[in-house]
Amino acid sequence: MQYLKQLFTIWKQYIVTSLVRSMEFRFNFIAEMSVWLVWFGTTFLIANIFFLHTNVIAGWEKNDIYILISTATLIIQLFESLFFEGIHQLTFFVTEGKMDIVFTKPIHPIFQLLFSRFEVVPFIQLFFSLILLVLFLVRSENTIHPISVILYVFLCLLAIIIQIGIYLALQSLAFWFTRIENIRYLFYSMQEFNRTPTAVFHRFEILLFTIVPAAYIGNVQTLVLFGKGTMQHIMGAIIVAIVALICGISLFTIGARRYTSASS
Amino acid sequence: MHESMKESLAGILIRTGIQYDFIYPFRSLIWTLNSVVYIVVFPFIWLTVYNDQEVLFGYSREGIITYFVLLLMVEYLVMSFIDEEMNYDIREGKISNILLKPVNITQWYFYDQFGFRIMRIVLFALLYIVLTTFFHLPFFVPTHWYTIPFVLVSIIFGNLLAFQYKMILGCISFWIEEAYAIRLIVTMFTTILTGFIAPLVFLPLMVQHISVFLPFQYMLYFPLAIYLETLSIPTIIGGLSIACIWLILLWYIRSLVLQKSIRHYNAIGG
Repeated sequence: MQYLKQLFTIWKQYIVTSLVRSMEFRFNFIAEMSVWLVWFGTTFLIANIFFLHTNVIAGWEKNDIYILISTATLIIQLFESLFFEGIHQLTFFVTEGKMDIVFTKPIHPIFQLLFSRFEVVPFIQLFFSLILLVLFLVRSENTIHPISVILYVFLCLLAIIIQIGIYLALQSLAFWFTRIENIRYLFYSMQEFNRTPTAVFHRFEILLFTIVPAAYIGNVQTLVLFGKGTMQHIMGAIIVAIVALICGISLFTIGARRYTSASS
Repeated sequence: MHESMKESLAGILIRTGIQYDFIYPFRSLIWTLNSVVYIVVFPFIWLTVYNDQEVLFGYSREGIITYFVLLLMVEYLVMSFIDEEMNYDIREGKISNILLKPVNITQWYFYDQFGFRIMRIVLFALLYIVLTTFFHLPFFVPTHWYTIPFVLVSIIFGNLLAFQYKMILGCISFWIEEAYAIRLIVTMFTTILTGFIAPLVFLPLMVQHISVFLPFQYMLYFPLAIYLETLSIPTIIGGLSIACIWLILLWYIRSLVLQKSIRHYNAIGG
């Protein structure tokens, strides 16, 4: 209990430091917000282009797709504000031989990577997504049950764990391959799957529930909210979250043994 | 004269680009996968939109799959990331190093991108062969003799247009330190107009009419539409003429902007 309390205090300090750093670069804040708002708008614009030619895409109506986009964005922003930048430091630390800073501290290296960077901009963006989600839900013809909302929140938390596991595993590849900081862009591109109904992929749909588990970052949550989720979806999300986390931690642990410092 | 001194600037830059990709092969593979993953969603959605229809706006199911497969190939041949590279070089002060060299800065950035283009095309071709073997992707083959020559000419035009446009965007970094926001916002809008999301005939009529008179569709959509034989010969010739006018215009704007930007940089940087 004492140890957990200590970790919480450290995390609070990390947040304060991150906030101070963000305030120093106010222009960055405006720039990042503007880019994100345009990007978010473009996402809906693209969805609209598809709906110029049809009323339903794989059983999803326009408003359903908007809810899917908002849900996926909400989950991504939550992950990006709390964990993304912290984990992303791994490739830089490994490439530049600076992991010593992490290994020599008396806190678990994964804890440091996960919690050391809190990003303000995605945290604010998260509220934009939330407001839009509520607006689209009000317009929706689907009845939302309170149990569905609880399950929705639970599945969103599982989606965060899935993303932590996957991104930690991807970043840990830096222990084997040099100069792979561009892996963040691959992670961004993969998010296209999160915002797309998995049913459009027909026979390849199964891949999104297994190898590239994008279905659990948007699709499953939205289906559960509409009361269309199954026990298989929930169990699947739990299993994938556990597997992703194990993969991430294992790859990091094995990779860390290969690490050589710049000063050695 | 030493053998290496005889090699042209183009040769040196292309060779260096290829060597860089060989040193970090996993990095190159990630870039290739990144493009494929980003684009793979669109043909699947469009095929769902087709539903029972065989043809939509002149594009068969086979045609739309070919469109997105070739889109990546044409993108590698045409588009470049000079704006990002210039932004990095200016921010890190590396641009001074280039400006001090006895070479033309435009030529430097033009040839600098060829190495990565070659490597990406090779990697993508390998990836495509693997995917076709496993998933039997249909592929449209043109039937008219004039299609391929027109495609090649339009790709050359597209490449030169994209280069001028990206270099103008890159010049913003000479004036504003953090120009990435402006560049990204402009790129997001132009992405739709180049035909990246869908063939332009799928977009609202108003967008189609406007885009005819803008340079963006001649970078990606136009070569692909020619390949898929959805355009008549007069339309192709008309399109190439507009692209030619845009090329002259952008060439002139780029020279002017670059000249003023370098002068501004010298004044600030000393």
